[in-house]
Amino acid sequence: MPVLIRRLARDLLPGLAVLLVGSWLLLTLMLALLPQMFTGGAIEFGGLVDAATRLLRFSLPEDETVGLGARLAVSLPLIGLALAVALALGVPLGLAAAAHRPRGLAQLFEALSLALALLPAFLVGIVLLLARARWLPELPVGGFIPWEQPGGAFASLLLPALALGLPNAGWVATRLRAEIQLSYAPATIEALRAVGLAGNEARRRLGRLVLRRRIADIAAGSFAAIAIGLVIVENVFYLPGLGRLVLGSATGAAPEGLAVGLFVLVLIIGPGMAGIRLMRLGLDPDAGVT
Amino acid sequence: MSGRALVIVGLAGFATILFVAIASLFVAGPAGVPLALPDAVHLFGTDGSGRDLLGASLMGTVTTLAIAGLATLAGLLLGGTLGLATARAPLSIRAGPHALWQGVGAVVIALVLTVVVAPGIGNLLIALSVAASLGCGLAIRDEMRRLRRLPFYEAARAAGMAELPALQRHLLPRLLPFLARLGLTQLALLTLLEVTLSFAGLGVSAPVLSLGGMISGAQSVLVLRPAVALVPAGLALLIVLSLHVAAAGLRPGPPAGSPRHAAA
Repeated sequence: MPVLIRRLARDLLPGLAVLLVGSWLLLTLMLALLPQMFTGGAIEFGGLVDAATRLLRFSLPEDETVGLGARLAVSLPLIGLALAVALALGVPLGLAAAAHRPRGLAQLFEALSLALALLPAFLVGIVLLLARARWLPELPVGGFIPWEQPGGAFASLLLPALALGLPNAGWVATRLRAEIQLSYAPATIEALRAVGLAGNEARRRLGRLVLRRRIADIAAGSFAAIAIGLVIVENVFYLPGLGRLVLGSATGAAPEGLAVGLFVLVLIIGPGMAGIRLMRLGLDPDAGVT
Repeated sequence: MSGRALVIVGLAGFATILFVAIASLFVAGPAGVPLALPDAVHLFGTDGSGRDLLGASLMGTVTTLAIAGLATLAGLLLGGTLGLATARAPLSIRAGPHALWQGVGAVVIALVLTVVVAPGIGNLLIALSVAASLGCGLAIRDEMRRLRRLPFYEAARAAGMAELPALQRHLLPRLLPFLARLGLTQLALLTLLEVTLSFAGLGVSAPVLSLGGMISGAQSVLVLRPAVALVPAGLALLIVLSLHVAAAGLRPGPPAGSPRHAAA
């Protein structure tokens, strides 16, 4: 536990504090300044304080019909599901792409992971909607079935989670492959062969070690990409989540909704990334040493 | 395939798309009925407004590439200056994967600018240029720091060569291929970001044609006529793929002395 607290204090908390406080101040400024820009009025200290407290109270515009809690009930499970898809596909793909033999197969997996990483999530969503219309008509076309019907809720999140998860699986695979390839230093391989390991077994062991060391950081990056991807993908599938609030507020010129939506996104992304990176303590065999 | 062949294939693919797209501005095909199926005149049919789908997509490609190209240029100039200026700074910011933060930055800036003024090309250009400057600046700073640690540069400085001549003679020739690769990957990334932001309604909107705007407009007829969305999407992906193939060809080979170098 002391190691965990030391690492938390040293590595994560300063950055997290800067992110949260910085975004709160920036969004406060945005929320206080934008209405003044439209009306041409003077900026007062009271206006800044009011904007800051409105952000901390997460107060949405009065015409907003869906509450923040209901939106989070859509967005948070969607992020979790998409991250699960990204890791479940990306990790095996990355390991296979980094494998030395057979080379042709490894190159095929490398090309596949690069192709996935290049796809924009909204485009995957459109292709999935087409596939649903042709082959999976039982899945909902859009919108969200409330959690009172867990099967329906899961079904309505399945395609959006795939749309967010598949490009991120490519991203996880390419990053994991690059990290593993970096560890294949000739001297390290030679040292492992000197203790009796075959070349392929040496590379497999190095790959597993890199996976345990780096997967938490890679997953944290993927988590952030998925969370910001919500803004686009929820609108493709008409999901009433946080992303829909953010984009709807931007295109509807509603600064209050945009500021609160972005602030909640930061509150999800910052601590979420920190929490995922902390998982390294349980995975990395050397995490408790330093 | 060798690096040179990859560069040739990638750049030839990109140049072909660019040439045909620019030519489409001067050769407008005849209009037809909305959402018509492919025939001899309209190779992929028509879009919701009765325009030739391929011709309209190629016109959209010009807009998309013009915005992405300008933003890449701004990124290389502004980010490059910042990167070179900060390469010697003692403060080091661990930025992580640049593309991720570029995407986040572009989306957030475009969202905020859309609230301030209506969505448009200007907003998009600002959002993409800031994102490109961020990415290019961090990448060039990291590369300069790596190059400065190379033995021949250290040796040149230790032998008494002044900093500027040493930079010009030893680092600049090695930085140029890196800049070319960075420019190609940035153009690919910014093309995707332009398409994404215009699709979301944060960038180019009708009547100006862009690939993202066309895909967005096709959502209502997606099941009826998938080609209306898939043709502009396919063009965007072809552009990105050709740029990445060319960039892959410019990747430096394995270091001298390594087994992969000997095999090569």
